[in-house]
Amino acid sequence: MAAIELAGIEKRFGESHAVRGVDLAIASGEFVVILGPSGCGKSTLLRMIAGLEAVSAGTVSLDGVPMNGVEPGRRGCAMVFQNYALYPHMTVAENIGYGLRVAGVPKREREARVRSTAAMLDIETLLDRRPAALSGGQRQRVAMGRAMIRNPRVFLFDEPLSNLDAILRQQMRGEIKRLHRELRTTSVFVTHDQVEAMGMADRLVVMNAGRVEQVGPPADVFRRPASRFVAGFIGAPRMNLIDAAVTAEGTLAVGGWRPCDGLRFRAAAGRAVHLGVRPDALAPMPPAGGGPVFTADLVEDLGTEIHVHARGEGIDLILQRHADAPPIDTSFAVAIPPRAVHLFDAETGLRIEPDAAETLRQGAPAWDARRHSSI
Amino acid sequence: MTAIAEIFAPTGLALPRLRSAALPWAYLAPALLITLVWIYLPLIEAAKLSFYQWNMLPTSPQRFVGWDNYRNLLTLPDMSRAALNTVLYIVGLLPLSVLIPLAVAILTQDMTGRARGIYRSLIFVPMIVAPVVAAILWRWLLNDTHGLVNAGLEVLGFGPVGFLQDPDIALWTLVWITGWKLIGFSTLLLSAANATIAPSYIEAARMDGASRWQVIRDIRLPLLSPTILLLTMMTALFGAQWSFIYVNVLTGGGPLKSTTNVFFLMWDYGFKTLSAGWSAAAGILTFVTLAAVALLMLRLMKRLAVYDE
Repeated sequence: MAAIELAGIEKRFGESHAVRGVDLAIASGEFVVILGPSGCGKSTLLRMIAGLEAVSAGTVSLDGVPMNGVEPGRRGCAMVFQNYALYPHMTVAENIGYGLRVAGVPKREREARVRSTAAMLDIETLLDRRPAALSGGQRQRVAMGRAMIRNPRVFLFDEPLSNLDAILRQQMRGEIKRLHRELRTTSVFVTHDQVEAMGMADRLVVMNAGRVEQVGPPADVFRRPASRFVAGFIGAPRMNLIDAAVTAEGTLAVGGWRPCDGLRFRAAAGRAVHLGVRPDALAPMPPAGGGPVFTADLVEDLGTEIHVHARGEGIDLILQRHADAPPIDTSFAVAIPPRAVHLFDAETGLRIEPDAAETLRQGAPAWDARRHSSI
Repeated sequence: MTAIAEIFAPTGLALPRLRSAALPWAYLAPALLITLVWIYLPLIEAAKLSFYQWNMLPTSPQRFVGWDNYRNLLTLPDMSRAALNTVLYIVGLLPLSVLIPLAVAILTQDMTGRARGIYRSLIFVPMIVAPVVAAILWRWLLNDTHGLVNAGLEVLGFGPVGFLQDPDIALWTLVWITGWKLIGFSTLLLSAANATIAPSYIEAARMDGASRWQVIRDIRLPLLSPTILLLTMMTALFGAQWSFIYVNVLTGGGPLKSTTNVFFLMWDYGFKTLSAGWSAAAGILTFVTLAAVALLMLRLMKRLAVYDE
């Protein structure tokens, strides 16, 4: 039985349609990250699981029990808010223990549980302070403590790390994962940060415009993006997407250029598609043959890697190169390894897989982008 | 050239510095002047007058009497009656200026759109009615023979009530009229403060399992405490003063001095019996007492109020 089951979830705010039919089952103990750009409905979805927002249609079930209309406090979910929402007039101990106080837990037991929770989070020395006297990281821990103390069935995280600086964010990311490993509580974590999402998720849910675009382990989502949106959204620098068409033979044509001739796709001739290639898969080579010639427009040296923004014949590309790779020529052509090709229908945005049998017969190596794994 | 430059350089430097030091004072001058002329000079004058006997005629002499005015005032039953009434006014006003507006603000927080606009205008209207007009209006309404209120009471089977004639009731009638004019103001202030409470606190409390009432008790009230304490302080300091106009227009301190208070007493001594010394002494006593109350309440506010960052 799924810990959380969403069936046909819709949410309308007056005219706007924030969530458009989401079905999702989350297994017990799983750490699921919902990733998407701002305004995609991910926070709304989380708030509907929490019960802070009513669903317009569909059912939210926790451990198989429908929860529509059940008060947030009775769902067994705990939430960590983006701004932590620590009660400013209560001490850290009172903040953490408030849920127990409301539940009528006797004072002595409450104090003991607050202390043990604080010990887990390493904030025992802060118990008498008010939130105003805490740093961002400390507040984050208190918010975690407040969520943990009631032993919830589900943890809900609403972009909890976005108010922290980069170093602290990385540290808290690790701590949340470690806590999850210890407690094994089902967790749903909402973020717009793909590094956070890739690093933390057991399973990644990518949302866009109120719909789920793709669900899967982070590596799968990265290696086989199900749609053009996912392809463009995950990965930095973002995937190059080149306007192309499918020829009568099932190969790809970018104007007069025939990149990766060995690949065959089963799609109608003339079908408009987007050819996607990750920046690290593009290899520069001396201009030759009919391919377009690119010139480097902008070079960003990030220390560990170099990003080359290039342009040629109406196509903008980003190439990602190792820091110690030889400097790139001012004019160059690019080779696209067939195994690095992602193809998306221009109209539906959905992924089109290469025709494996045809492709093999043509002698091209099987699709394997697993070697390209930078985010 | 150098000589000339040397002569002018220091002045050239000093002048802008002087000007920049004087500039803030120039901006403050109008406010300071008004405060001085209308607050501090009268205060000093009143303090001085409280030690003199004078009938307010410019031609008659002011006679120094030392502490006599104070001694007489403190032994006079008038003064103790007025002081007690002042406390009654303040205590009576607190529910109207704090408790009811607090309840209304919290109960109506979810109102939206048109309903909210209508309710806000309705509750604010008494505030903008001129006090004298309000006084006359209430005198009509509360008239013991022809008044609408008594007519209503009669229908319900009660005898006519002397709202402004009965010494046991008149003070509370004036408290009600004063408070009626304040409810709107307090409600708006509390509604505004209530609206600024971050929704995430309420949501966090709901996630913690708090009921509606627990959210109000544990989250809203503590976060409203600065406004609640401010309104309480304002009522304590100004409440009796706000009722002055109704005392003056409706009862003149009666019946049997049951509605008088220190502010009315001051005015009565000063401008009816023309004993400026007594009036000033009463004024100084009131000032000192209220200053002490204000200091106490400010300290209390600092201790009790919780401010969101």
